[in-house]
Amino acid sequence: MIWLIFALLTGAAVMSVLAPLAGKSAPADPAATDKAFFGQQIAEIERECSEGRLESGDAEAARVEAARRLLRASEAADGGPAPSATQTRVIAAVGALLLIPALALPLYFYVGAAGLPDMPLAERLAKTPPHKDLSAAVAQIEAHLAQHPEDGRGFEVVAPYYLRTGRHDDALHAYGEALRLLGATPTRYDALGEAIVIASEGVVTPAARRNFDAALALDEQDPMSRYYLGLGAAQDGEKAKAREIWTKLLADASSDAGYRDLVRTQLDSLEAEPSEGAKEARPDAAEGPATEQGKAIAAMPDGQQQAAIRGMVDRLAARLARNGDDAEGWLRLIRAYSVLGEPGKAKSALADAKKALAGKADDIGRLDALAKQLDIER
Amino acid sequence: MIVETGHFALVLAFALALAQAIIPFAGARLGDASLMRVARPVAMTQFLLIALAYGALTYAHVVSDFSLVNVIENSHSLKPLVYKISGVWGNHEGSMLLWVLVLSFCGALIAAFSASIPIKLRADTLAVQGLLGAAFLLFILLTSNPFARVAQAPWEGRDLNPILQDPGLAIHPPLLYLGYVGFSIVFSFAAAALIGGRIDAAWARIVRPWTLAAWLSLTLGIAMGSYWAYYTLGWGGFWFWDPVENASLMPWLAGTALLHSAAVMEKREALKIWTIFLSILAFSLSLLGTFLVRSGVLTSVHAFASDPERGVFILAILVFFIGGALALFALRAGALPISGIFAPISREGALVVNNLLLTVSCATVVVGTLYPLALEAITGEKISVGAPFFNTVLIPIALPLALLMPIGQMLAWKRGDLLAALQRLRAAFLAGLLALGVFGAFEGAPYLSVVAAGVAVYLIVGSISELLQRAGGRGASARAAVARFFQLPLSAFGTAFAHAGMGLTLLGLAATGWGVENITTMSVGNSYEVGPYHIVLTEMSARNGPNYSETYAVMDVRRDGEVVARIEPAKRFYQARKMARTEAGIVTLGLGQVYAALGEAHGDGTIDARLYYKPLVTLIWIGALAMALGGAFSLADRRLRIGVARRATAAIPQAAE
Repeated sequence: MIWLIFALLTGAAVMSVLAPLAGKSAPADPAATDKAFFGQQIAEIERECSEGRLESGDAEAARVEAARRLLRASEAADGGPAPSATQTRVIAAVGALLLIPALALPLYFYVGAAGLPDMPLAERLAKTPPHKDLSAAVAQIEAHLAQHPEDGRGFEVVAPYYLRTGRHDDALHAYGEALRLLGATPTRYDALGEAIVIASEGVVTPAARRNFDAALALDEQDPMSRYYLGLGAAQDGEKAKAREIWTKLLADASSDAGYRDLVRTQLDSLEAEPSEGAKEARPDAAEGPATEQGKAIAAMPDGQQQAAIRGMVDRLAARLARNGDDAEGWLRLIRAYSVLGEPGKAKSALADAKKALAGKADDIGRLDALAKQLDIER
Repeated sequence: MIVETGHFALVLAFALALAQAIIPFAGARLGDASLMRVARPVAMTQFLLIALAYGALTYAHVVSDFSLVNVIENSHSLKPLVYKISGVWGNHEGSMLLWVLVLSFCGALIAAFSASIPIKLRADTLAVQGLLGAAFLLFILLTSNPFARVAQAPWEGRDLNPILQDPGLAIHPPLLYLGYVGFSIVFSFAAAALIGGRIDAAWARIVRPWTLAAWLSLTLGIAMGSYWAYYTLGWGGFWFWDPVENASLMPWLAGTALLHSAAVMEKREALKIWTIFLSILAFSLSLLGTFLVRSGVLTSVHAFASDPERGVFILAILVFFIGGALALFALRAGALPISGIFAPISREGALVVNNLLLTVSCATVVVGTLYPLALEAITGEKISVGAPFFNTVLIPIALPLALLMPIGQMLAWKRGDLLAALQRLRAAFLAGLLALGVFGAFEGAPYLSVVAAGVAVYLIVGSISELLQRAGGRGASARAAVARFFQLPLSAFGTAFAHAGMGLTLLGLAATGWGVENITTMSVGNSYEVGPYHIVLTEMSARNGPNYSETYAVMDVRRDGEVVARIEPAKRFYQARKMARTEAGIVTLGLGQVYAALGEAHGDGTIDARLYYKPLVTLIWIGALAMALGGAFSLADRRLRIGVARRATAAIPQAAE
C-alpha cells in the first residue's frame, strides 16, 4: 500500500517535468514583456497627467524616456528562445524520468523507515490492555492524574513504579502528593522518607529524617522509622545513639518480625567496624557468603536493599572486567542493570559481554535472547 | 503510513529541486523554450510535496506519535493543541522544514504570477531558487531529519522548551522566515539578472513586491520577537543585542537599504549595480543569521540546536551561495551599463545618503556580532559586545538619519530644492523643538532621551506633513484637499506611514530612559511604589496548568488611591523538562506599561519581585506595526513608478486647478 503511494507521488513528480516538454509550442516574442512593461508605464504617465498629478511638460519628458528605454530593450533582446530541438527535449525527458526515481529511492532507503506504521498515542493506549504492560498502565494513570491532580490514590499507585525505574524526582513528588492528599499516616511518612534515602543513594538526609520523625510522632512504635533513624545516626558517626535505637527496636520486636535479622546484622557491623567513617557504616560493605548475603539483603527494607544490591552489582562488574569468560555472570549483570532501571549501563554491559564472549555462539545467543526479553536496544 | 509518506515526499522534493535547478537553466543557456517552461510546474509540484511533508510532521505532533525522535524530544501528550502545532517549528529540524516550505512556497508564487516576467529571467530565477531548495533539503535529510524514527516508541515525550510555549513564539519564526526567505527570491532574481546580463527598470518593478513583502514580514517578525523576549524572559528588556537578534537585524537594515535603492532603480534606472549588490547582501546576511542560529556557534536563548556536523554543512551552503553570487557579481557587474547620473540635491541623492547610513549601520552590527566570535576562535578569549558598543556607534548614525528622512521625502526627483524642502518642514521643526522643551521640562535627564524624543516627534510630524501638503497646497478649498488626499498614490501613504512608524519606535526607545524600576521583596497586603503607580500584592497562591504548575500573585495597580488595573505575574514550573519560566504581569496604561515579574518565593510568605513602570514603551511595537502597514500600502500600490522631475513642488497643486 505505502509503495503504491510512493509510486504515485514519484509519477506526479516526473509528470511535472515531462508535461511542459511534451508540447512543441511556438516561441514567444522575447520583447513582449518589455513592450508590455513600458506600454504600461506610458499609460501610467497619461493617467497621472489626466489626474493632474503631472505637468504636461514633465509628462512629455517621461514619455520620451520610457519610449527610449523600450527601444533599447527591444534591441537588446537577442533573438529570444529558439523553437526547441526535439533531441534536447528527449534528453531532458529521459533524464528526468530516470534520474528522479534513481535519486529519490536510494536516498529514501538510506534515511527512511517504510516498514514503520504511524503510532498515534491514543491508538497505542487503546490497543494495550491495562496492566499487561506496566509502563502503558502508568501512562494511563499519569493521563488520569493530569486531569484529576487531587486523586491521591493514583499517586500512591505510581510512586513505587517511579522509584523502581529510577525516576526519583517523580517518585518523591508522587509520595509527597499521596501524603498530602490522603492524609498523614506513619506508613506514608515512612514511604516518602525511604524514597528520599534511595534517591540520595542510601544516605539518610535531614529531609528523610524529618519524615521519619513525623512517622514516629504518630506512632512511637513504628519500626521502619526507628530503623532508619538508627541508620542515620550510624552514618553520622553517632554509634552509641544508633546502638541504643536499634537495641530498643530489637527488644520491642515480636519474635517473628521480619526485620529482626537485618537489625541484628546492622548491630553486628556497628561493632565490627569501629573505625570506619560514616559512609562505610552502610551495610553493603559487609562481605559474606553469597547465600547468606542474599538472605540478609532480602530481609532489608527497600532502601537498604537497593544500596546493598548496588554494591554487589558493582563488585560483579569489576570481576567481569578482570575476567570476562563467565556467561552466567554477564547475564546476571545485564539483568541487574535492567532491574535497577539503568538501560544505558545494561546496553554497554551487553556490548562488553559480546566482546568478551566472542566466538561462543551459544552464549551470544543467550545474550541476544535476554536482550530481547529485557528490551535492550542495540 | 502518513508519516512515511511525508518523509518520501520530502526526499522526492529534493530530487525535483535538482531538476528545477538544472533543466530550466540549461534551457536558458540553449535558448530552448520548452526546457525553460519546465520551471513553473516543477516549482509548484515541489511546493506541494514539501507541504505534504510538513503536513505529515504536523500530524505526527498533533497525535503524539512518539515513534518520531522529533516528537519525543519536543512534544508531550498533555501539551495544549496550539503548542503541539507551533512545536513543529519550535525546534531545529521542524524549523528548517518550515524554512524550505516557505522557500518552495515563494518559488510556487513566482511560478504562478510570472506572466509578465521575461521567460529567460523566470527560468534562471527559478533555477537558482531550485538550487537553494536542493541544498537546504539535502541539509535537512542528512543532518536534521525531522522524520527520524525509533522502533520502540516511548509513552511520553520530553515536552517543548517552556519558554517557547507561548503565542508569541507561535507567530514569530514563521514571520521571520517569510522575511529571510523573501530575500532569497530577490537574491535569485539578482543572480538570474547577472547570469542573463540584463538589469533594468523592469527588473526593479518585478522584484519590488518581493522586497516589500520580505521587508514587511521581517519587520513584524523582529517586532514580535522583541515583544516576546520582553514578556517571557522576565527582566523587562526587549532587545539585548544578542547575536541571534542581530542576525535578524542585519538583513533588515540591508533590506531597508535595498528597498530605497530599488526605488531609485525603478524610477531612474540608476544605482543598478548597487541594488544588485544589496539584493545579494540582504540574503547573504539572512544566510549568515541562519548559520549563527542553527550551527550552535552561539549559546543563547535561541540556540536550541547545536551540532558541529550541521554547522559545517550550513557553512558550506553559505560559502557556496554567497561566494558564488559575489563571484558572479564580480564577473558581470563591470559589464552592466551605467546610467542615470544625478544631482546631489534630489530625491535620489537623499536616497543615496540613506543607503550610505543604513549600510554603515548594517556593517556596525555585523562587526559587533562577528568580532567576539572571531576573537574567541583565534585567541580563545570570550568577550561580549553589547549595548554600550552598539549605542555608541548606532545612535550617532540613527539620529542624523532620522533628521534626513523627512527632508528626503520632500525633495523632488532629478533636481530638488533644499531650501524649499526645509521651509515645508517648518511645522515639523517647530513640533520637534516643542517636544524637546516639553520632555526636557517634565521628564528631564537623561538628555539623550530628550534629544531623541525631539527628533522622533519631528520625524513623525515631518512624515505626515508631506502627505498633507501634497493634498492641501496653497489656496485649495477644504473639500478639494480632502478629495486629493484620498487620490494620493498608496505608495505615498506607504512612505509616510513607514517613516512615521520609525519615529514612533524612536520615541518609544527614547522613553526607556525615563523608566522606573523597583526591585523589592513583596508581602501580601503591602503597597510598593513604581513611577506614578502603587502596586499592592493582594494574593499569592499556586495552581496547576495542563503541563505545568505555577505560583502566581495577584497585584492591584493603584493610582491616586484608585485601582486602575489588576495583574497576575506567575512563575511556572514545567514537570517534563524540570524547567521554570516567569510569566510577567503586564498592563498597558495609556501608552506606557506596568510590568511585574516574580522572583524567588521565601518561606515567610514574601516573594522577590521586579516592578517596572515603562512610559510610552508600547510605541516601540506600535511603530513597527505602522512601518509594516506602510510596507503593506506600498505593496498594494501596483502602479508603475515613474521618475519625473518636478520643477517646484508647490507647482503640483496648481496644475490641478
